[in-house]
Amino acid sequence: MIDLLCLTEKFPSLLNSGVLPEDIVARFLTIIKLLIQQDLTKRSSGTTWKDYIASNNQKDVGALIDELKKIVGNNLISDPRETVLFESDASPFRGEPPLAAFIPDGTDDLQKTILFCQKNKIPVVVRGGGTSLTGSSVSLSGSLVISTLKLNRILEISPVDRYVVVEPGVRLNDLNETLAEKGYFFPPDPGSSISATIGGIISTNAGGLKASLYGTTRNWILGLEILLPNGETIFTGGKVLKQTAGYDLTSLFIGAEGTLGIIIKAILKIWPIPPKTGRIVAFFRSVSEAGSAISNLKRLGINPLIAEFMDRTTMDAISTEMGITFPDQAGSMLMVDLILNSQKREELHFAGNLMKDSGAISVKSTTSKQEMEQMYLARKGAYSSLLRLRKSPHERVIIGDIVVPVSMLSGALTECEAAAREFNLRVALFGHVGDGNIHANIYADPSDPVMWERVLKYQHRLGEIALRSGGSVSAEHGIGIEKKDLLLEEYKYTGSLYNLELIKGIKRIVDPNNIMNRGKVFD
Amino acid sequence: MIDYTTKLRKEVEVCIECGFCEAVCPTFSSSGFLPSYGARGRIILARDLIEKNSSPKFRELSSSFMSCLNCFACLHVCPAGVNAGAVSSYARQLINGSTPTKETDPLIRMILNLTEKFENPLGIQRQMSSWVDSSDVSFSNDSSILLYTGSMYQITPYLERLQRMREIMGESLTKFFASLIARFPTLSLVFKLLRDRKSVNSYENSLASIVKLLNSSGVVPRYLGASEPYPGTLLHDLGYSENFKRYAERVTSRFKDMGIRKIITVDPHTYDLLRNIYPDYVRDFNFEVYHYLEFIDMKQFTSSQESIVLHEPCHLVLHSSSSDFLHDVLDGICETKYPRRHGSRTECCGGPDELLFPDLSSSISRRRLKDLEDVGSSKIVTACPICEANLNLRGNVIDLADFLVQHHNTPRFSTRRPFQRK
Ligand code: SF4
Ligand code: SF4
Repeated sequence: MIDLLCLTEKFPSLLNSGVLPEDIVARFLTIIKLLIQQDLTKRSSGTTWKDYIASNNQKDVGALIDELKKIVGNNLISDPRETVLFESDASPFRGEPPLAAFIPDGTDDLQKTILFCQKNKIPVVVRGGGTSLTGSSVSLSGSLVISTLKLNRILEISPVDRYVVVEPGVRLNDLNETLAEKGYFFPPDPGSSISATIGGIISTNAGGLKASLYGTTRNWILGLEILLPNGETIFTGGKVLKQTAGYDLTSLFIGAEGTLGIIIKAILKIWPIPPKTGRIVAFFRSVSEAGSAISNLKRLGINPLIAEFMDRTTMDAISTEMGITFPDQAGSMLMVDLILNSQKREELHFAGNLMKDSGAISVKSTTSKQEMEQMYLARKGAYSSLLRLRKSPHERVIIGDIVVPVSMLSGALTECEAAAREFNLRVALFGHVGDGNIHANIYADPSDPVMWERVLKYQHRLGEIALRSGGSVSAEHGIGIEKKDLLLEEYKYTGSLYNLELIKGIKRIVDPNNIMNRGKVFD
Repeated sequence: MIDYTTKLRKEVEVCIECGFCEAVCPTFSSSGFLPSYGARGRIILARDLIEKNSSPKFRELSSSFMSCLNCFACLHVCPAGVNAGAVSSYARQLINGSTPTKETDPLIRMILNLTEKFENPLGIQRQMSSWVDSSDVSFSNDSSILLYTGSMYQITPYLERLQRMREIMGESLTKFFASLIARFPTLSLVFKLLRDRKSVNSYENSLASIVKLLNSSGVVPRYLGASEPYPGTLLHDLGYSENFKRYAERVTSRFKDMGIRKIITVDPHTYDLLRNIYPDYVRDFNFEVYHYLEFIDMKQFTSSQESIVLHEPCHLVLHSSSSDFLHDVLDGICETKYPRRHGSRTECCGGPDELLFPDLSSSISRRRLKDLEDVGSSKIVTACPICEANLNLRGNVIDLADFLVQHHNTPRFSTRRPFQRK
């Protein structure tokens, strides 16, 4: 059997060697990737963990499980009826049968476990809430899944120093509920915050609504404690808001999607909850006008706390499902929150007028909590409404995720809309446009190869739009399985293919046997 | 008969496996995050169940579905509108569905047999109406409004005792006795001995409080006394749909024969069962079903400085579209505080798992009690006998009706019959 993973790994050196023309190598690589991807989207890919282990001349499965049990005791789960459930996450990708799952209740056994996996070359997939949209958290064939959900303690809160120390399995909403009691919050707020864990949001550098003002997770991590695949535990960063002590190793693990090590503790920066906010809802005739309105706001020095956008398709879905009505002529909607520094709501008036000047056909603003909540209902119900309008049980709503500079939003949104028509796809656009993040929600049936092909092309086009605009192919969902080829495109486009060499070099040093979430992010 | 495979398929096929439901599923966290005990896992396994319906192996999946509390917390956070509670319920009906077999848990067999024979899951139907004897409450046989207790308040103290006996005897001895009673139902006489006077009094008192409050709100309902049948809640919850259907039809025809039009229920489980489940099983179940709080005259209470924590029962708050009456009645009487998980995020007390998964149940109740106590009020109020039984580990939980009676504006508003010299 050809080892596909191994072939793709050789690609950069083949490319650099000049033996083959660059485009041929690139095409070859795309085919291989498609093969691997198809393999991973199918539930039974043919390569079972038994095959895997047999092909690696390893000890038999039963013996491996017995040895693992000796290390971790009852926290090991090997019943296939239980382990099969680690094959799914929120993405359309289906993983492969893992060897077992380990749900540690402390960090004591973790080191021994990782060393055992290292010795026996058992792939390791670390998993938090299992909410990845790109397949980062699905199990790999013959892997040990390590679930962090029992490592869910908030260890220390220091409002005066603006930090909190947590274990990786703390769910984001739980953390913010605790912090709110002290008047603080941790700003990253992805849509999955109810279930997403701190370990997961660090590993995907999650963003969310408030990233418009506060930036993504990256801006809020002060330090990490990491267990490396060689059994070493390292501490990066610290409990201070400033630190310039050598290379920024903390950053290395943010967005690494579990490919480098296991986050066992995190020091997060926290911030006081803004005392007073106001909300504006504005409707525009086109998506491009809404895009211009946001860049006009920012041009004039206004930094929205959140700036959410939705197109007509999204509004129609909300109308159908929730009975909320929108102006007939509206082609897009913006919902903007501002932190108010004065009692007089001057900022709100100013921003509202700016919306009108940018072409808004209707603008409403409020500071009443109740009214704000009412306005928020539509945004909150957007994805849910889209999901409920699926035409067949096999249809999924694939969430495209790109980011462009805010000044390019107007054009990028128009292009995303036009491309959906070109590929004949039902697409609803919404996004956290305050930082240029566009989500194109694509209705698609992954089991229909013709349609899936169009979806891949559309996703590719989205990536192109992002790159041409000076943005990125992934804003906040990570790369996982879904966007490995797009990441490559981004490196190519920006003339930085050497990044891949660098990443692989780092990976080789940290994880020489490639046991950590192998095959995710890059091949 | 209801086509559960179709119902199940419709529910699970829209799931996108996002996992939001796992974050609120009490059995997921209390089982140590075992995915098969979580809402998302149940959906994925239900897909398997549909595919492998013909295989005898599917019974192995049953603990995943049987352990679901049916609390519907998952439904309220699911972006796709999936109800993993309903999924578990349909899956149970598919797995069990018909008559129990020899492999069926003896406790379940016992409950099914006793319910069908005595119209009471412990065969102690006579004990179910004894509360009236000592209560100062009024009923009218001419009324077309029926007070239907559903036996929940009365049976809870016996179940509590049974649970304690079970801990002492151990599982195998309990199951031995259960199978004996399942075969010879008259042996259920033994359950009468489980009577714990103090505990029975307390639940009976709550029932009396409810009726007394109805009376003082101008409602004098009819009550069937010793002939009131148990509604069959456990038959449904355990997944014996055919038995349940037959039984529910029997109960309904009793109501119809008596010319009843309105039914007032007193506990969340019977309220939910009659409103939401009976109509699916019984043709022309066209009664108006109410919760007693909907009839309570709010003007009869005095306000106080007292602060309480409200534990909202999931069958009242999460199963029905409107349960405002639960909150409205407390408005102005006291300061009502809530635990972190409240409203559409309220958390189950763990009670429904007590019979088959006692350890899981007790872990859920302990955690919920801690959340309630963390709010910092000395009194926890709830409106469900099962919640009270599971949460009242330290004597700080009180039934809402008893709390309302304490705050009645009539001095010495008593639920007890005045003592009469013979
Ligand atoms: S049931 Fe709903 S919340 Fe749970 S995994 Fe499925 S779609 Fe997500
Ligand atoms: S009904 Fe309750 S116990 Fe059952 S799956 Fe949903 S949240 Fe979990």
